[in-house]
Amino acid sequence: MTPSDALEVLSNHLVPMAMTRAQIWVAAMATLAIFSYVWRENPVFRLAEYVFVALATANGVVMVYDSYLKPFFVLDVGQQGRYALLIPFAVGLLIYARSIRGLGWLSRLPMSLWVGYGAGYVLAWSPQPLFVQLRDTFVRFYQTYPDGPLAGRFWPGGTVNSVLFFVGVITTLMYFFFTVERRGPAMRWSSAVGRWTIMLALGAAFGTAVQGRMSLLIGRIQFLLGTWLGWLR
Amino acid sequence: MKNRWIYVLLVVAIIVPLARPIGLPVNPTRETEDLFELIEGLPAGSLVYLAMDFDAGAIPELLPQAEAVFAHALLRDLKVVIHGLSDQGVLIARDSLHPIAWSLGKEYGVDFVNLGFKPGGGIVLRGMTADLWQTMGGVDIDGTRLSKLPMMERLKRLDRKSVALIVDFNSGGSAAAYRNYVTEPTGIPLALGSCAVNFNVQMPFYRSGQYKAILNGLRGAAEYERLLNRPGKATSAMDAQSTSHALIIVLIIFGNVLHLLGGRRLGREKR
Repeated sequence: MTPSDALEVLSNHLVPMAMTRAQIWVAAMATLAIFSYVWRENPVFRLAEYVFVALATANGVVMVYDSYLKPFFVLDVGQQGRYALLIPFAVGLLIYARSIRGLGWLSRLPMSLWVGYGAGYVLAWSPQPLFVQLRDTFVRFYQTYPDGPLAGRFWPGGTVNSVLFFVGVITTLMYFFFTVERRGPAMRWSSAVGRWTIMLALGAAFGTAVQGRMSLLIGRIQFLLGTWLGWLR
Repeated sequence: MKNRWIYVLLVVAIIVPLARPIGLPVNPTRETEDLFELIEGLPAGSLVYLAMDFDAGAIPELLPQAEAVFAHALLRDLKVVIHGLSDQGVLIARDSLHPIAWSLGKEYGVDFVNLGFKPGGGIVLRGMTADLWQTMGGVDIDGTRLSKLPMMERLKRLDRKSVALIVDFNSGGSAAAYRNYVTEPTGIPLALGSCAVNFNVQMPFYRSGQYKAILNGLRGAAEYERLLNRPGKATSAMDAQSTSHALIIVLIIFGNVLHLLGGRRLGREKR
């Protein structure tokens, strides 16, 4: 098989995973049952919903055993002999002490360790990427074309972008600046512009949310018409 | 207008272009081209790390991206290691990416490896930067010892020397974990395969150079397929995506016009 033929495989398989005909039918029926809600609330939809919740719960139980408990006991402790890991395991179990009368205070021990460890961990590693973001807000207003035949020449579009970016950052921060009362024209205007900036950002976020949801719907319709019914090439 | 009529219109707007493709152009954006060029520029044998950090719900958007990037990397004779902070992501990879590798004549353990899932999020990633083998328990997704997989000899930990590029296909917060715990401290380039919903949130990190490239949902996958010169399932969905967006734009305008007219009428009635 040539690379080109292999990519043909990539292009043509509308089934993301190797599914048997029976699995495809079950998936199609489940999809239609969920879609039936569009018509109105009905028993078929409710049945599909309950089945989904039950499957998700069962899957969660299996995954906890398969991904957390089994590797811990079989691999880490059993095969690699890392018995010291049983100490934090025992400390973790103390979280269940809250349901034992008189011993509830013991559950605070693992909780305090998690909070302390979590806060320290985040503080140790998170600031670095955020400082890069902070540095990136220092933009040059005078922009030049980075490449192409006009490289090095004044770039009006880039300059406008930089100014808009600067104004957007400052005014958005002003909008969330609650220490000073919004009385003077500077405070009122800047927070008003900030509010518009936020609204524009939310509009863009709504647009991409629609895009994402449409992609999911298209994926399902491709599955129903293509994989299940075979109507799409 | 009753909601169900809107649903009917939406389904029609999707089904018609799927059945009779219009062939609207898909022009790759700079963000997508950057990933394509990054992979094109890597020397053969370089190791690319694909993070499959999404669940079944994100398959329509992120799997076409992962398939296209995975196929591209293997066609370029790069080595690919797959890992997931999502338990479902690595299983999806086993069922969908592995067959692509086999169809390209690639061998498991030599050309690609699936490390599987290990719970713990960012802490696991930090562990992998120190000792990947120990963090993953010394085994891959199927329990095969890493020592039996020749490719893994060169990947003892996540560092700049071993890994040329990380591509994180994510539908949640895993990108922040990779940024904070792996790529910023080690300097490994990071590219993102993002759900459309998260795209805006992630763009500032692309702008600042913390992501070298970013794919935007199904659209990003279609653009990548275009760059590969092999239209696939993402490309076939693009017409439907455009028509459905056009319908929603029309409906928003229609709804706002009705709202304005209704507001005026209400004002007159009050007077």
